[in-house]
Amino acid sequence: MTYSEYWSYFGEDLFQQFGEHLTVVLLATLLGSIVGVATGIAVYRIPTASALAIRASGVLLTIPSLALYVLLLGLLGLGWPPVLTALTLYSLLPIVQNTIVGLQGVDKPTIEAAAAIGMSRRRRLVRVEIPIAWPIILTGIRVSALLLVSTAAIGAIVRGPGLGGAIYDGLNSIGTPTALYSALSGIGGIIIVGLILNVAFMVLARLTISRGLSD
Amino acid sequence: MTDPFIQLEKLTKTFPGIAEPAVDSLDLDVHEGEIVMLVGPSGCGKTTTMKMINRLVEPTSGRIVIDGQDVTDANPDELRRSIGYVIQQGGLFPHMRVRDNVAAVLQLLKWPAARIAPRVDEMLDLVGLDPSEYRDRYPKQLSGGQRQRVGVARALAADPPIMLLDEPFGAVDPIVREHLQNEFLRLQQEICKTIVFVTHDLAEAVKMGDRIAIVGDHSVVAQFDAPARILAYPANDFVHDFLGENAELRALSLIEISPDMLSNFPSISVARGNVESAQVQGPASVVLEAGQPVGWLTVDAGERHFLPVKPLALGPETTLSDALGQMVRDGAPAAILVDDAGHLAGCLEFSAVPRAVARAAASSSVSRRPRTEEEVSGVDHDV
Amino acid sequence: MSTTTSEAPPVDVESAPDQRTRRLPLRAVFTTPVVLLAGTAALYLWVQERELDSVERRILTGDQLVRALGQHLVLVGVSTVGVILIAIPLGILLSRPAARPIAPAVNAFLVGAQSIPSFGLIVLFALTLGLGARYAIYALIISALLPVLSNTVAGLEQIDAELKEAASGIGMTRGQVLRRVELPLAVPVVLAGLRTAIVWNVGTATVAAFAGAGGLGSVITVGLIQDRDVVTIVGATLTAFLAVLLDHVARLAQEFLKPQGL
Repeated sequence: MTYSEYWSYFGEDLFQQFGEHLTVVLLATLLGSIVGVATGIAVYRIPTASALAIRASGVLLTIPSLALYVLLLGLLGLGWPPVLTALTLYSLLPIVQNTIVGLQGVDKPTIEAAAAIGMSRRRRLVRVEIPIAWPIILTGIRVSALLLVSTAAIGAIVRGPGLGGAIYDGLNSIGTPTALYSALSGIGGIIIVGLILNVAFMVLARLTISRGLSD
Repeated sequence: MTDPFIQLEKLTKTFPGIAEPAVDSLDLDVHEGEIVMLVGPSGCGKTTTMKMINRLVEPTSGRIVIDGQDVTDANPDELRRSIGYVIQQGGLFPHMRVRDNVAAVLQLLKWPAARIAPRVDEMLDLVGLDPSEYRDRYPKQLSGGQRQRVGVARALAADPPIMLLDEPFGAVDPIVREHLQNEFLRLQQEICKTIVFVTHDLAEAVKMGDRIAIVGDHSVVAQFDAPARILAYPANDFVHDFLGENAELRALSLIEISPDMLSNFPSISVARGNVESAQVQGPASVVLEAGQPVGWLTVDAGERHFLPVKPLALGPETTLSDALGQMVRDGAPAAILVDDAGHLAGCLEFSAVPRAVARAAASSSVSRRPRTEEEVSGVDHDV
Repeated sequence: MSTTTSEAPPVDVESAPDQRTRRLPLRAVFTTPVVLLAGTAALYLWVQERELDSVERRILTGDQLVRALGQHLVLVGVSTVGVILIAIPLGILLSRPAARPIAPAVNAFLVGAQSIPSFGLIVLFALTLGLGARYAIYALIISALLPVLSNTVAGLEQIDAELKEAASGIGMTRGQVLRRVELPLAVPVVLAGLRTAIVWNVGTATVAAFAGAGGLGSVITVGLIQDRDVVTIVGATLTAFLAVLLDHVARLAQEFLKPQGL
């Protein structure tokens, strides 16, 4: 069987898995960003709470993904739910950490100047602190997203979405002509997802980071 | 005298975990339209004191009264919108363009957008920045001096009656600082704000202040008076030490030469370029050519010497320090002063200098000398 | 840096050696192991409570679990050593001025390589080279190279150029500058990358069970295949505990190995 024959049989499946992979990574990154940035904002003024939040999200990232998937399996069943949950939990550390570091790193006189012209604490956060910390926060989100691209592949073991399915199919069809095609297609597709996300984050950075902070 | 515009009464600040108060029961009055300098060694609490006026630091006890109203418990955000605040480097928001920085307070005050844009341009003009060139820049695209100007423009945008300045010119090089100081004084003559200005630089305090508060540990005010009086009569050892040696010399640049300080020397009129033919009338005579003084003719051990001197013009910009400079530089027996028309007004002898200092220090009416046009409109080169 | 030193209280000579030996507070050293031990004990009691069927009893023996743990540690240990031997020299080479022309190409490659799935590598090696621990270790090494490589490059590049100039200024050769100045200063960043690699390897080694490499992952897979939740949970929990423990050990090593004065 040639690769083009493989494509004619499985190409459609691969496209679907590609879409799923991109979707689950983006969704988990989005959920992780909401939870992670909110956590970072809640704790960044309190050193002990900041350390605790970073430590807790660090432990989450330490847990091997297969272990986390199967532990969530009992609670959430097979498929999307355990994978999306696990990926969301994995995304937290870089986001929480960078949110805290970014917000703590905002120049104190700048915050004071914002207070001095009469900005309320909330407005200071929204108009001054978060925009200034944004390049660092966005870097954390990007690191998380790219981390999830490869981690999501393991989700196939618990029937999760994405291109891990193609890799797993390859393993399960070991000895057949399609096995290698399948695994290689999965790997290649995942690398492409990674490249797409890299470009997307570059564009996002260009669009959302003030020129006064970049260049 | 009218009621003080800002009154600090028994203001005390104790930071948690530190037994000694940073500011201990401070009383300070600032009158409308004056510049009060808080100067003292670093860590003395002068900045803390200033920050209590706009409640960036909440006082532990005491009262803050502004324009007759007790603002000790007012909403701090609203209070701050009516007090301009300038810090080192301007404290600009790095992620906002110059125009958004200047507009920040106006937006907080909910000005309509149609009024904000022209106001921003007006403010940039006021601080000497061409709006079309600078309004769309980011702070990092400005020099230190320009950032400082934008900081002043932002503080002035909402036309607050009070301005607080915390070492505003601390981060720029000395030449730019000099320009900014002069410009700020020129600006103040236009805007007449009530200003509290923190600095550690005595020269800056002397130059900028209508009154100076010399602040010691725990923000105890060691002396609060006009610059010349402080320089001439330090109230105690602390002030004396803080001023350092030769403080009196600095006072010289604050005291204007007035006609009653002058004495008369004999003068001789000569034809242009014909000094040698003049009749000597004493050990030292002022030489006049066509009624204008051009120098001294002295006789020393039978030798005649002609000493050309460029006379000083009598007026608000000419101080004792200029006269002393002429005597020292040219070796003249006295400084020659002329009136508006360039005619000899009199001479200032060395012995008149200490008398003038003593008299100026004793009078309460010493005020900062106004600036000359040339000084105040000095072009800034820090582009 | 100089301001903090000048403001620091003078250290008297007698007590200086004491300050040099780093003693972490006992709490920081022992909290994690104690918590993990308690967790393991709780897991043991939980398993004891349950009625195990014959399959479960056969798999969940002490011998079997210790063997799986041993295999897992070998997978992680060998692959980590491999990563150190490859990534650090490679990182040093890439940070030399001679490598500057290829830097953009290397960067582009690293960006692409970042999302190569470790699971994919394991499967690919199993399909092309064969099953077994040996080929799994190759896959582990490749997938964990990146954090150490990029941290080595970053650690060496962050060093102040003036500092390097000063070092050559006092007569050090280029080799001496590298050994005495650059590498010691890069150590914290390299160690951070290594710690990431270790944690990464513990996780990837779990998946290596699918390529017949054994380890704690095989406990999980057996549980999944035989549909025995207890077995799966024991395997997953022990893997998680191992990862947290090794991360903790790596963190302590990081503390101890980083040069003084940083």
